Order: sequence, then structure tokens, then C-alpha cells
Amino acid sequence: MLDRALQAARDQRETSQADLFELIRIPSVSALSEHAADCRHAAEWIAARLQAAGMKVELADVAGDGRRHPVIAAEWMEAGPDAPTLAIYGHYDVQPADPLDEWVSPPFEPSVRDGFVYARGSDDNKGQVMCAIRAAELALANGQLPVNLRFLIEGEEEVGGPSLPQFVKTNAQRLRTDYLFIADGQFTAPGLPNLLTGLRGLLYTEVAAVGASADLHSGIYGGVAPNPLNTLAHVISALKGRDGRVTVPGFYDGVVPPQERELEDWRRLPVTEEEQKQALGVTALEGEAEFSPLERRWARPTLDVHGILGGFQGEGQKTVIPARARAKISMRLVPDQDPDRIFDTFAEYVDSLSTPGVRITATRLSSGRAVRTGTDHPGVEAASRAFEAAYGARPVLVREGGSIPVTVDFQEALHPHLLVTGFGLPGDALHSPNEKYSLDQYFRGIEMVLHLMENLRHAPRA
Amino acid sequence: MRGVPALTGLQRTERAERELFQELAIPSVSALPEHAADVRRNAEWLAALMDGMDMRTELVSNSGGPHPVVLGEWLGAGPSAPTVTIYGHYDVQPPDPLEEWLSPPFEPSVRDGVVYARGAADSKGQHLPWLQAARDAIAGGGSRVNLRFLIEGEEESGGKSLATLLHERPHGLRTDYVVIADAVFSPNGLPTLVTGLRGLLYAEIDAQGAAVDLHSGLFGGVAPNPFHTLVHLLASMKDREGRITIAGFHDAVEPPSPEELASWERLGDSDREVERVMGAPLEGDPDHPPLHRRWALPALDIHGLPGGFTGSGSKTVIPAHAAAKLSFRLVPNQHPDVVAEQLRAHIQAHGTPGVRLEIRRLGGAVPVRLGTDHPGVPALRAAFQEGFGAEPVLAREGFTIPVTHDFIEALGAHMLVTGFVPWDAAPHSPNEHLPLDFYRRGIATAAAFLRALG
Repeated sequence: MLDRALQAARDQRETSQADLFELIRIPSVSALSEHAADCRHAAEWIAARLQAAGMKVELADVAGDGRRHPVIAAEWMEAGPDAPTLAIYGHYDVQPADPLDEWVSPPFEPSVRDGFVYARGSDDNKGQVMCAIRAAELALANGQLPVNLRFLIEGEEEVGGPSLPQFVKTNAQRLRTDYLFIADGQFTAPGLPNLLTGLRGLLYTEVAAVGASADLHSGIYGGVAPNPLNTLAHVISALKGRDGRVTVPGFYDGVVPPQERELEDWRRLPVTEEEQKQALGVTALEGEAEFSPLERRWARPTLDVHGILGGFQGEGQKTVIPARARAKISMRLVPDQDPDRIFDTFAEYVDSLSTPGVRITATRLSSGRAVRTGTDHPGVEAASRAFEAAYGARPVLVREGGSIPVTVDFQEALHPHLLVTGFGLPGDALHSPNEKYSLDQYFRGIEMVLHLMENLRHAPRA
Repeated sequence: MRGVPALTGLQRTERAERELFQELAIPSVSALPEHAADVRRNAEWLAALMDGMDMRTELVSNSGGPHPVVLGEWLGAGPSAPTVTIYGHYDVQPPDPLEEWLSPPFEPSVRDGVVYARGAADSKGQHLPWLQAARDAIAGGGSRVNLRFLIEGEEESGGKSLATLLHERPHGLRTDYVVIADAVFSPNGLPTLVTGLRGLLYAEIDAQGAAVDLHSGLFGGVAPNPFHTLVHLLASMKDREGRITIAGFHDAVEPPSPEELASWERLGDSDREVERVMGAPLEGDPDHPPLHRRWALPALDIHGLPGGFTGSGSKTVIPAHAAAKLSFRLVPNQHPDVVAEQLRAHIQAHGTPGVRLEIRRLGGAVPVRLGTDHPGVPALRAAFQEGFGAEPVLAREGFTIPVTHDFIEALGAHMLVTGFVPWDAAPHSPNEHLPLDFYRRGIATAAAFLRALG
């Protein structure tokens, strides 16, 4: 299978590229209800591909309330009960494209410049999940697969939706999985792939502040009116100090420091503080000065405000004291912080920080624990050799600051060996305007997945 | 009106209300460019109304701003008679949040004798009583005072057309009295004569962190977040109890005069009433009484914190930039230029290393103090006695009427800042309103004032 499939992968790069572009053109923004039909369209497109490749495909509307996006579950189990099963996770939904005016080319019209395709979802995650989809198509078209193969692809990754977790939990018995492959990340540096030993979790909240019963004129009431924005400024400034330290009581309880072996690896990584500053376009990094920047991004929890709604946001001046305001605040969590306990403490704490005239309520929008993956299971070596064959380099062991909440659900329901990695490059501008993805990384990614299937041929079942 | 049979009192009232509803139906939102034509239409509507009163009218446009000043004058009382200038503004605040209006903001709706519409109180219901009184005075055999109206369309958006006009034509606009029809009654229902107005410094602080929006998973922990820098900065400017903590900020604050303090005794305790209207407990500097905090002390409020993601759902973005819209209400003898410098110095000392802060001044107004020792004051006292059955208290206003300062500078006239609007009429808020009884009594008061001066 392998040699023929690899040859086909090289011969059919134009097809692979055209396929990716087709998927990118579907604006499957899961956070915006006006794109619900696009999300379904993307799901149906992928389902049709996998079916045509010879897999048994199910498009599952898990919640069934019309507001959720379907899960794609596909399987090919003809390698037999003794062969290991490789499951591949991905997501077809993307982040909203705003601010639109900062895109050089339209976000859903793939534009190739200097070997990169620019588009929303090009890296996160369509370009990466397509590596596996193309590899499955090519493998199935070119002989007997050495492993059983399964896809579990969701459309609610960017909104922390419940469909895939629920699907995995409900169907755990029939979703036998030994190795779970997740490609939703970036290389450490060009030419240097990685495997993840940990992922941060996420606790996303909205904090509502209500003052007067209607918006007020600041000339008449300024000096006596409760102002929810003033109060939120005090609350948020109290949540995290200028030193980057989060002050929610008990927030750091349970934080497990990284292993010395991991820290050694990180110190050897070709990532300097200067480079990180340049990547962000800032004059200084901020955060807890007593930890290295990589440690802060990978192994330390943090708290960020994403937006504050309320009052007047337009051009010019309006002298309004808003009746209410809302802040979107999330916390990145590390092993073994407990999101449930932290949310409860957080809700009490923000309430205690309010001022007499403002009522504060915290709501949890989503949460997922941090993940630690094993580093010594047989899949690690299989994946390392696959990277070496496709990209000419073995992966380093790193962590990831972002969340893939579904890894927690997979771990709890299916107990697979986790292989968490990625085909993107640093600087791909995920979630930002002008997101991009290297076409060379894409083509090699297809070959990496083909090698991985082959390398798992004799791997033990989990 | 000459050659037309005189209208009955009832017919005059009906006409006055019809004209109020007509003007309220014009969405003259000066802050929003998409309403520019509506603002213009309102100016033309006013000019036509004044034309019908035999006034000489002019729409004055100049370099000061986009919207014309409506100038109307009747100088038939002759050069030896006193001249009264009435100031008002025909532009209104944006009506948002729209979903909180019980009836559409630009379709005047009368419920229980109260008209609801954007501009009902601020301030179409303020200049129209004076126009009605002027028409009656001119038509009823000629007013004994010369009359001039200066109604601008940039009050809510900080334009300078009227200020420019005043400074360009101080002689042509010479006047003995200026009535600023923009104040409100006291919470316990007394008319007011304003002895001081707070000033304003409106600023936007722009905070720039990274070059682009960042994923908080990848960069949370090292990426500067402009929101966090802003909230730390803002929290450092006013403490949790409401004391403004910018160095030197209070140095120029002058306490109210003994005469003012004595008059304020008539107001009783308005704290509970203020809480009732706000629907929330009072906040603010515990070292001073609430009335002083609204009238005679500066205030700082945040009006908006644009940036990042505010849609529904969750987006894990660390925004590259965010901004804070904020304003200071200033009192005599603070000056917006001085406070702007104090703010600049404060910002320089309270940033974070990865965020660039820049301050943009969006508007400013000097606080003013107004004397009460001229003949307009007894005339106004008598007029309110006639129209509302009560003498005005010496009050202050917490808000800004920036043009007051320009009138004083350019014309040096006696200023009378007063108004015909109850204090809780929700200006700038949803469901802004005006009781029609106030409107009718306002017309009677304005008429009595013009008679008393002549």
C-alpha cells in the first residue's frame, strides 16, 4: 500500500490542493448562527468524500435541536479485530473572520502567495484534517490498509459545543480506538515537528454587570450613578495583577509543574524571547516574570479578557453611563487544575469585587480540563518515524498552550494512546486576519499520515 | 399671522403640540453621518416655522462643523429696546439601545399626557415653548423686546458652528440677555436658575499590544492584552469608592458659594429620588454629599471599552488593540486643557511594558459660573411664578452646555440658564419624555418673561 499511495500522493498534489480549497471556500463559522447552513455544508462535503473513499460514514445530529453542528463518524474496520485501530480527529468549523478590513485577500477565497494559502481555516483546522482525509483516500485506493481506520470530525471545536463529547460518550462501546491522532497544531520551527505531552484547558466565562435600570446621562448622574464599566475595570484589574499573577482564591491549587525532562527539552528549543517578541510584534512580553516565556505559554495557567460589551462603542463621543456591561473572560488551565472548582470560586470572587450599586453575575460558556498525554507508548515511535520520513526530522516533545477540549472526552471515554501534533507553522496567524498555511507542509502532511498508518501495522492495541 | 383670524387658546395649544410632534419626528442625530440629511431637514423645518412668524431667518453654515445654525430674529421693538437671545439645539442623541424603547424614538407617542420621543426633553421641548411665546408676542401687536433665536445642530456632537458664528459676528449678534433653554427642574419639582455648569473633557485612550489579534491559547501568559492594561490604568484613576486619584486633579476645584448652599436647602433630600430614577443605589466619593457630587464636584465615567470580541458565544482572542472612551465632568475652576495634561502624565506612569498607550481628545468644555445680579433674574422669577406657580431655585447643572462659555466670551451678555423639563425625563436614554403640561406651562412662562423684560 505505502509505496503506491505515496507515489499517488506526489502525483496528485494538484488534486489535493483543489480539494483543500473547495473545503476552505465553505465559510463554516460555528460561532455565528447565520453560518449554520455553511457548517452543515462542510460536514456533508467531508462525509461524501469519506464515503466515496470506501468508509462507512455517519453524519450525526447529536443534539437534534437544529442549533448544533453535525459530527462526522467514519470507519473502515477491515484490517480485522487483531489489528490496531487508528482514529483521526479534526474539526471542520472555523473562527469568525473579523476584523474583515485587515484581511489582504477575502477570508473564504483561498489566495496563494509565496507557497502559502491564505484563508480562514487554512491551518486551523481544514488544512490539517485534509492531510488525513487525503491520506485515507489515497491509502484505500491503493491497497489493503494495515490498520483499522476511524474518523471523528466535529463542527463545534471553536465554540466548545457539546455534540462530539456527547457522541463519544454515548457510543464509547462501538468506537474502539487504540491510537488517537490529532493534528491541530503547529511545528515548533520550520523543519522541526513536535509531539505534545500536554495541552492547556480552558474555562470561558461571561461576567455581566448591571447598574441602573436604564442608560444615564453622565452630566446629570456622573458622581452618583453606579457605572458597570467602572466597576468591571476594578473587578478585572483585581483578577490579574500587573505581574500576571491571577488572584482568584485557590487558582493555582493542583498546578503540576512540568517534568525536568520537559523543561530541558524546552530550553534546547530554537525559540528565543526576542523571536517571540518579533512574532507577536511587541516591544515586551508580559506575564509572570519568574517563569520562562515558553513555560508561561505551556505550563502556567492564565486569564485574559477578550471583549467588553456595553455603553458606546462607535466613533466620537456619547456621554452615556451604561445600565449594563458584559466582559468575556477566559482562563487557560494546566494539569491538574479543576475547572468546576475554579469556576465556582471565580463566580463568588467576582461578585465579592463588585461595588454597592452594581450586581455581578458570572456565567460559564464552556470549560475543558488540561491534558497530559503519555510519552512512552508505541505510537510515539511510530509517529516519530513517520515525521522523519515525511519531513526529514523527528519531533521534539513540547506542550501546547491552546485547548483541544475533546482530548479530555476521548481520554475519558475511549482510553486511547494520544498522538497530538500538527502540520502548521509558527506565524500561521490562527484566529487572526490573514491566517495562512504552507502548501509544502500540507503535501508532506498527507505523506506523514500514510507513513503513520504503515508504522502502526504491528503496534499493540491499547 | 397678519390677515389671519386670531386663534383661540385651545387652537394655539393644539398647534403648539402639533409642531412639537412634527419636530420630534425628525431623527436629527448629529453624531451619525447617515442622519446628516435629517439634521438638515430639521434646520429647514425650524427656519420655515420662524419665517411664518415674520422673523428674518438664515441658515448659517461655516467652518465650525457640518450642521447649520438656525438664526431667526425680529428686531421690531427698535434699537432702544432690550434684545433677548434664545439658545437651543435641534440635534439629538443617538437613540440606541433601540430595543429598550416602548414606542419608536422618532414617532412621538403620548401616554398619560406625556410625549415619548428622542429629543422631547433634550431639547426640542425646550426651544419650542420660546418660539411659541415669540409668535404670540409678535402676532399680538408686536413684542416690546427684540428677539433672536440661535438654534444649533451640533450640541450633541461637539461641533463648533455656533461658537464660530458668535466669534465671527459679535456686533451683529449684540444682545442684552441670553436665555439658554437646556436646564431641568429639581428632583423635588422646583424650576431652576442655573448658577454653574460642569465642564467636560472627553477622551479616548487607545491601547495597542501585539501587531495582530492573537490566539489566547497559544500566547496567553506572554502576550500583552490591551484590555488588562486599560483596566489597570482605569482602576488607578478612580478608586473603588469613587475618589478620583489623578495627581493634582482636585487642586483647582472651588466650593459652592454661601448663597448657593442656602438655596440648595430648598431642595430637600433628593437622594432617594435619584436612586428611584436610576433604579440603583448611589455610588460615589463618600467624602461629599450626593448633591454636591452631581453639581459641584468633578466626576469620571467610562463610556465604552471597544475592542476584541463582543458577539455571542466565545472567541479566544487576545485583541491587538482596545480603547477606553471616558470623560471627566469638570467644575469651576478646572480647565480641560490642564486636566488633559494631568491625564497624559497619569497614563505615562501607569502603563505596562508591552502596550502602547495614546490619548485622543474628543471634546472639551470649560466649566462656567453664572452671576445672578442683573434684571433678567427678577423677570425670570416672576415669569416662573406665573407659569408654574413657583420661584426658581439657584441650582447647578452637572452637564455641559459648551456654548455658554462662547456666549460669555463673544457677547458678554447676561446669561439665564433655565428650562421647562422635569429632572427625570431620561435625556440620552431610552424612552426620553416630556409631560405636555410642562410644555404648556413653559410657553406661558416664556411669554411672561418676554412681557416682564419689555
